[in-house]
Amino acid sequence: MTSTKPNSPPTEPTADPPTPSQAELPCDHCGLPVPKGLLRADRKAQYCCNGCEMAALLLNEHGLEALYAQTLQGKPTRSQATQEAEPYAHFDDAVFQKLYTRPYKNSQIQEIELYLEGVHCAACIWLLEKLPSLLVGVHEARIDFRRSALRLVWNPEHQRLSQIALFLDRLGYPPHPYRDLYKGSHQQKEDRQMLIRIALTGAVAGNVMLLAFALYSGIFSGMEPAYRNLFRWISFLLTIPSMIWGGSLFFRSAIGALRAQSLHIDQPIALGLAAGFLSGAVNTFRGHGEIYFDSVTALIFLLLVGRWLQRRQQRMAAQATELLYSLSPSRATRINGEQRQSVSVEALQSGDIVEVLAGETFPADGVICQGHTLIDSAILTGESRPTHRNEGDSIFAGTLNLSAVVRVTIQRAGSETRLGQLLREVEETSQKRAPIVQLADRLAGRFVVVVVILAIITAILWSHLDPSLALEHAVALLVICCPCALALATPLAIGVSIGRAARRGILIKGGALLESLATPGTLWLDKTGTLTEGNFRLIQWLGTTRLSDPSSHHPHPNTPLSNPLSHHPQPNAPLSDSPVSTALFSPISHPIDELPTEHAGQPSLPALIQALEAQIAHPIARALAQALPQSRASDLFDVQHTVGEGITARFANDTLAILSPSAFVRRFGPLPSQAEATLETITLDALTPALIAVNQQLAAIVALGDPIRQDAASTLQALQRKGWRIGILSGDHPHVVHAVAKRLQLDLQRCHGGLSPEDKLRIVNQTPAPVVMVGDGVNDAAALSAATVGIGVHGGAEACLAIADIFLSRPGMTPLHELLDGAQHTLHAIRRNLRFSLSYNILGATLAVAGMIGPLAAAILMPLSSLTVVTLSFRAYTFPTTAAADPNAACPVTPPHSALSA
Amino acid sequence: MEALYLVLPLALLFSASAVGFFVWAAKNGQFDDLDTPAMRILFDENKHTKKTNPPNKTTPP
Repeated sequence: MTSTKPNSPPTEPTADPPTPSQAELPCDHCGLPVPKGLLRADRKAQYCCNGCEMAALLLNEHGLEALYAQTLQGKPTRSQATQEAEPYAHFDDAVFQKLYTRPYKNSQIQEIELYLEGVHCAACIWLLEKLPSLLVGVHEARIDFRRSALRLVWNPEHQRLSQIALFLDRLGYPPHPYRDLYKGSHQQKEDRQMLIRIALTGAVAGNVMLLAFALYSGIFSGMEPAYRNLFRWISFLLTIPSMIWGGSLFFRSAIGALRAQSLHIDQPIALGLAAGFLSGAVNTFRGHGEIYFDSVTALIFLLLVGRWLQRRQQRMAAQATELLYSLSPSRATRINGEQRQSVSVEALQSGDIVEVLAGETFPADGVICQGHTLIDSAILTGESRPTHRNEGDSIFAGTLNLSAVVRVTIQRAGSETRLGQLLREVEETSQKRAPIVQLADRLAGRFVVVVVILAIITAILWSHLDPSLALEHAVALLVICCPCALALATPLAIGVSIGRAARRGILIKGGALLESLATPGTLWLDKTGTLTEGNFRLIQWLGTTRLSDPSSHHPHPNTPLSNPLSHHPQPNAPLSDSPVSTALFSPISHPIDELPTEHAGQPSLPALIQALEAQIAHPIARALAQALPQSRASDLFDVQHTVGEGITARFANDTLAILSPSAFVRRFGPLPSQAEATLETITLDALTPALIAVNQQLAAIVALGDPIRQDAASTLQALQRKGWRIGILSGDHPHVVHAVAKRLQLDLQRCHGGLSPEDKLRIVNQTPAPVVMVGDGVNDAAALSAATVGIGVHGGAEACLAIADIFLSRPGMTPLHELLDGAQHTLHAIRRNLRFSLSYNILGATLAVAGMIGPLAAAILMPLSSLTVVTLSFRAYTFPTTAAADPNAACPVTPPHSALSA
Repeated sequence: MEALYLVLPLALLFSASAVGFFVWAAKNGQFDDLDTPAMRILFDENKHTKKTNPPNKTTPP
């Protein structure tokens, strides 16, 4: 299963290894079994597909056979080479290039960053960085392994980008444009600057500490005043750049928070830094008195490191989500007269005609002008059942074409589509959202007040005892109370948590979010795709599994007595007077996984239905063909498919029919009462029934629907026990929503169906904070951005990925539980950190008021408290430390550690 | 102890040059990607042309 909706190109290269039992030859390029039809006796090397043969040919041509030695095990690199002649033609569009490429140094040469699927070992890097020697016109190819990104510099005059893309695809690395080229380079700049700041402040802190050691030992063993002054002056001079480059960050944010009249942990920090630096500077000029430069510089350095760690983890999570939406398709097939043309979605205009294949998403709003199909609009509306669209019906961008090729006349494209409007709304809501005030910030407000009052008390107290020491002791208090550990506590605990969560497939884009998830509030869940799996599946098989039931009076087909003519289908013959056997149908439920493939040497009914449905492209047929057991080829003939009614076919002497209830009644007369009751239950459960008839008699009823995720009930129950108020916000029919809510034992008052995206937004806005919204579709995006925390789930739409604060890249509801648990543990860790650092501060303050503290005590207490906090943060249990066991934890960014051990 | 007047500035110059080198490296993008180069180093660049030790070369005494 891929990580996005079925519209994303499948990530093939990690396909299963060939099973040895098949005794098939492995492909010489990728190691997958070679299909019999492609085996060639006339040569030594065998290839499973043209892509592999082409790749092997290319490698040989350029003397790069060493690849096979590098990969050792024959890593599958089969590409999903599309059938079209030029699947990447849209890479050459002016619109596309304007969006994704930029000139490299001089204007002739272009630069682009591509996200490649399937980069997962050292050999991939090796091969891809050989690109300049493989293709004319490519100047530079550099891989960023962690992001699976290829930075490509090429000359458009010598090589078209579409050709390079095609080449990459053939090598087994389907390329996708990286969305945020400019944002990426901006972040890179920020990162470098932060590193430089850390290096500078670190070097200063180290040197000042060395000088301080000399000064402190001078206190005990004596020191010539000339050298003492020299050391003090050098310490002062060294501290200046540290204050300018590192300290200014804290002053700026403290002043910013002050202007906004809000509280921030940087305010007490700035106070302490200023007090320490200014008194140190004055005392340096005066030639006597305490200096605090060692504490001040170490403080700046440690705080910067803590902040950098948190930011780094946050950004890695954000990047991983961005990658997911780079995978969504950005091209469409435009029809120009007789010609098909691959263009980027951005180039589409109203009036264009596009062709949309089954399995693709519609690129724009429009009207079907040719063909009819079933569409899945769950992403846009939350409706779980596929709906039919005929010629002349309108369709919306973002919905999924399920069953047939259609042509669409575009009416609105780009930002004018319904999808585009929704996205604009989402952006507006997300800008209005108030920032989260973190626990440490709230604490900081009181902290400042207490520290200032204490400093004043100290000054007054000592002006009575010894006026010459009053100022000095007050300053000492301010410095010792600078909340270094307090300021480190939160970012460290959060940074560690975010890192661990990412290994469990939970991508957290902001640290403050964890705190708001820790206290139970209201949890709104989307239904389709979140609580349910989001696709149509077989859920129940009720009735017989035998083609013919020996207990009935119906003759066995193998007995010579049976007359084939009497069993021929007579679709529209009135059957009310024929003896309808009620004995044949009894609603015995069979577990889907254990349906038999045969009975006494004869294929079973499920196996026959499977063979029959495998021939039809229809969501119900596909669900049945997937779920039912497969048997060896059975001879079905006379297959007839009537749209909207069902399928009939013949097998040996029997006729089979799979029909909708209304079609069944129309053809074969009224249903037995037992069957009526069964149908009623199925409908109440919000499932879709289909009736299976053998020889015009009801044999079994199957129920299909969007199954509730297996772990949903247990997870929600556990969360409810913890105090979360859980409700459903769905665009699907209220009837369906209530059926799901009943099954999950949720409060029906809080389960709403038939909601538009605007309704969802309204409900979320009306709910008192903290509100957590979990969803996957575009229709949830506005609500996600309005909630205190918006969580996107596995398989979510692009808009939802972009807007969600947290993204769960593992399927199911278990990660949600893990996340909320982890958030609670993180808050505990933060609280414990804060308690420890506060107790250090109280100790320091007491000593300072008593006048028993100098720079030496400060220099010992501060690193000690920071060390405690650091140790506690790394030791704290937040998320399970093991990587997620689920191999489908389709985080597209291969974590480096796993790649190295592979 | 007068040596301090010479040694101290020298030591500071030394650490300043270290910081300077780090700044240069960071601006050059040496710290942008910490994972790929670890793998890149495994590749034998020019297997056919680069022979580090000619067979007739004698080791210095």
